[in-house]
Amino acid sequence: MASVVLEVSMPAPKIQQEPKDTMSKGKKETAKRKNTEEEGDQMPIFDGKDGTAIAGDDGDLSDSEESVYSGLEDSGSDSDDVDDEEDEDDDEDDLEDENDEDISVEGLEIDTDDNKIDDGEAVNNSETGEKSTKTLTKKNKNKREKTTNNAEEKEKGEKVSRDGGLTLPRSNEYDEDTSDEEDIRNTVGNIPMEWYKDYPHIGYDLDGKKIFKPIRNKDELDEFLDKMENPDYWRTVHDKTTGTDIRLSDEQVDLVHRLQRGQFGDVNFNEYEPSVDFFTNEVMIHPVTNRPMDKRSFIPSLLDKEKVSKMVHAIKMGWIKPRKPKDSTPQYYDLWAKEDPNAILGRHKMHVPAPKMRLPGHEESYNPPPEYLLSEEERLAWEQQDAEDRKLNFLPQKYECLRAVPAFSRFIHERFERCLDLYLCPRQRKMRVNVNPEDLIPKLPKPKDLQPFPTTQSLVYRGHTSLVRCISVSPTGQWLVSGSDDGSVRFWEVSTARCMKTIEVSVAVKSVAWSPNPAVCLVAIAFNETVVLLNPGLGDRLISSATDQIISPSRSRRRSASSLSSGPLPRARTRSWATACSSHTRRRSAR
Amino acid sequence: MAQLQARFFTENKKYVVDDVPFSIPATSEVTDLSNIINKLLESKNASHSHVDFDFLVRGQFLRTSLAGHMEAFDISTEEVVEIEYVEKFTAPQPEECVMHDDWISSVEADPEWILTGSYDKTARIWSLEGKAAMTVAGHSEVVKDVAWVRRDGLTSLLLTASLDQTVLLWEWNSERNKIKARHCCRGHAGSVDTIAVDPTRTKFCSGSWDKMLKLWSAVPTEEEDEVEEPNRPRKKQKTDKLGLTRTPLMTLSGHTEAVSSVLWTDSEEICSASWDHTIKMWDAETGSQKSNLMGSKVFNCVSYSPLCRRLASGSSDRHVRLWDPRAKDGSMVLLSLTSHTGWVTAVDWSPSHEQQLVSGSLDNIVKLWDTRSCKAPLYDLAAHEDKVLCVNWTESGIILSGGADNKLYTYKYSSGVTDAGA
Repeated sequence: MASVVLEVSMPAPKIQQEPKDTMSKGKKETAKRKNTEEEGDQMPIFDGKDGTAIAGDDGDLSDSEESVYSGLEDSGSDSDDVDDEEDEDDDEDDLEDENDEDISVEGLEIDTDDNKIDDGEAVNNSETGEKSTKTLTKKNKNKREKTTNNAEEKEKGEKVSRDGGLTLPRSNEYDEDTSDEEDIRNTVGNIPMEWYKDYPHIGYDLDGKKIFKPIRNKDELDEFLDKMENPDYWRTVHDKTTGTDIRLSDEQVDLVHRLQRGQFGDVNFNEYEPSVDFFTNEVMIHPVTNRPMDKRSFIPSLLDKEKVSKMVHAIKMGWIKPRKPKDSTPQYYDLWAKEDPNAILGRHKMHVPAPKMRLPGHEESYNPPPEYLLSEEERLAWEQQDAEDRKLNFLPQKYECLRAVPAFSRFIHERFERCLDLYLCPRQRKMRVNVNPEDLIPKLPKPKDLQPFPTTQSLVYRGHTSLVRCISVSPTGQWLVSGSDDGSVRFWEVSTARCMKTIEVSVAVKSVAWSPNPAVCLVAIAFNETVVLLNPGLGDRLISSATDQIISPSRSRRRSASSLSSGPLPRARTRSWATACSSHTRRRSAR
Repeated sequence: MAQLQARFFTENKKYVVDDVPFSIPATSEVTDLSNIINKLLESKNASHSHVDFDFLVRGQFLRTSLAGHMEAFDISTEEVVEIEYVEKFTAPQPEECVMHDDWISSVEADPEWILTGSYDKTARIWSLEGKAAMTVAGHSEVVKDVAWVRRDGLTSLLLTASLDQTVLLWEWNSERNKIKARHCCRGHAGSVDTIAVDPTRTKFCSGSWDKMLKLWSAVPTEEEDEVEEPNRPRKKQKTDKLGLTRTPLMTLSGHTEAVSSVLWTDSEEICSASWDHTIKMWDAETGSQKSNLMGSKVFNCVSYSPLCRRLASGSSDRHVRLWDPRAKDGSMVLLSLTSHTGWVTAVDWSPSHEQQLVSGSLDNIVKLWDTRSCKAPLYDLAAHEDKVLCVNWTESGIILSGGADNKLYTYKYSSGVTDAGA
């Protein structure tokens, strides 16, 4: 049954049948019904409350509807709504074939009068649960049709007559007593349905019989399963008054969507209808009314008059003093009012005297000597120069007598320039700092100046087997001594990287130093806690032998390739090295 | 495709072509031009065989394309370009490799024998084929420089300078293969790094780490010069004595750092290069400084060519520079040859060709240069595995180089003049 009902037969077909007035009315009704529908489960959906009442009362109904639909829930017309719904349900139940609307209409027609009788039945029927509040539109339509059909008989004439452009058909509100029939499914009224939570019934129908809840209530599990499995879950609505789950029809869902989007609920409603002026925009000959304007339009209002008179009285009594008009002359300080040096004692450092005017010279004379006059070339040059570049602002002129002198054309110019000088004159002495910005940049030396610094690798002195810790160059620059962690001290010839001598010290050599005294050929080698002073015997023979003498006189006689001796140092062990070190020779295997 | 007008000329009578301007493509390179010349010669002379030519434009060897070269040297492309062509210098042919016991510090060859000084404190004489002829031992320290004084027939005189501050004058009897130390020239207070014999072969000059140059007589005498040192250094050697002591004839002082290289430009003039960045010209007779050439880096070696009267110097900044010794007190570098990547330790001019020289460097390469091609050397002889310490170019066209890898390499080089089967 319901499914059939769900098929949305659009209002369009209906419209064909109906005259315009009713249709518009229907639209309005559907809109209202949609509004009500939105108001939630608790509220029984308002639909066709109008429908039943439509027969004649549309205007009033509309008002009452507005008050109902003002957004307040449950404004007290539930019962009516319920009745209405029940009506609709009724109708729908009875209708088998929605598509055949004529039949349905007629069916409705037949039934309209019997609405109330049928309501009880309808209520019972409605408990099946399958009945969702069907497309309200449908019901609306039905109702509308019902009502229109009713109305047709009664009101059509009225409407037509009334309708000069009015879109709101009004039904005679006294034709039907709708308040009883608002929602006849459940007569409990506007109460929280939780009161019936524990009861097996959910209310009473019009006959006083209990309306029992559907047999199987849904518990949590059922709810969950429903959520998961029921494809229509998203469009079923639990009606608390009847305790039924009403599956919304497509039309209803559509309605909801439209409302959510902010559109009008009624598909048929066109909000962009051209507005019909209630009056013409043509300029008529005669005014609408010819009533003359009142005097009060031209004189101060009574309230104003009172206020003013009070103020006047207050002024007269001296309680309020009127404000003096403000003097609009600008206040300025004449910097150079008194060019009295004595008066400026306080800040005479910063005082900038007024720029002095140029005293008139011979060029300004009305009859200057001929040499002050400009010749033609000079005049041309003067004219071609820019105004700022000119030495003289004016052309010296010669007149015979004072009488012949005309008014000075540049008078205002000059005054203006004088004013400029005065007020654009700098008020402060600016101390100009003569700083050359390039001086501030720090002068970095060119790389050339920093030379010599190493840029390329020239020689590699190979021989050490471990980390080389220390090097020292002889004062002559011919020899290089290096000590390393492999326990050896090597002497190199700088220019060829040839290792001349190697001295084995079993421990890592920490530091070596060549004696800077050119008269002595000595190298100091530091390792562990010992410092050894060594004569490597490189370089000048003489010096070498002299050094030997210094170090150990007893050994100086021995002519050996090199001699080693240690100098005693505080807290250092003295070591005497027996014989010469191993002087480094390379023996290549291949010959 | 741009074309250039070029005219070819040559000194070599054998390969003369017509002296008419030719229009050649601007992008032609040496091989292209060589082909052109060969074709021209073939058309003239049917029996001409292909010869590789090298081309010079305004005295500079053509190394890039002709257009590039002219652009680089700012030669106008509007006029006819004069291109000189010479036979391409063939690469030096490596000949011998003589193994030594230790680093070779110096080498000097004359037409029959090679004399090398080594870090094993000896000097050796070798035949040209690399056969050891003689070992000259006597020094107590490494031998830094060697020089032939005279060679006439059987006996020859040679000098060895050493780290032990002495220069020994040896007399060598090649026939009997005996060597004898004639004189021991003492006087230096530092290692004697360089010696040079004058053109008359009667004197020689030595430069040392004590910043002095000393002139000595190279004529062996029987007298012994007065000796200042009370203790005569004696050492047990193969030869009995180190020869009679000799003192210097003159001492030239003026350098502020060690003298690295010395040579005679003529019999009266000595040129010395030093670590104090200068090359000084001295008058041998008066002992005074004649002029002074300032450089920016340490001079390691210097060589003079009487053919072109230029001094070539090798420095620690890897350049080989050419100077005019007649320049008065300046720093006028005529040409700077840059290709080495390490210190240039040795240079020598070709005795026969006025534009060719050879240089050896610490980057293990010996480079053969032509001064007309200043951007790049003619040839790189990269036979050494370690630093090259000395080079020599003999009059017979042999280039020798010795280095720290104990090897002495000889190359045969025929420069310029074509002889059949050179």
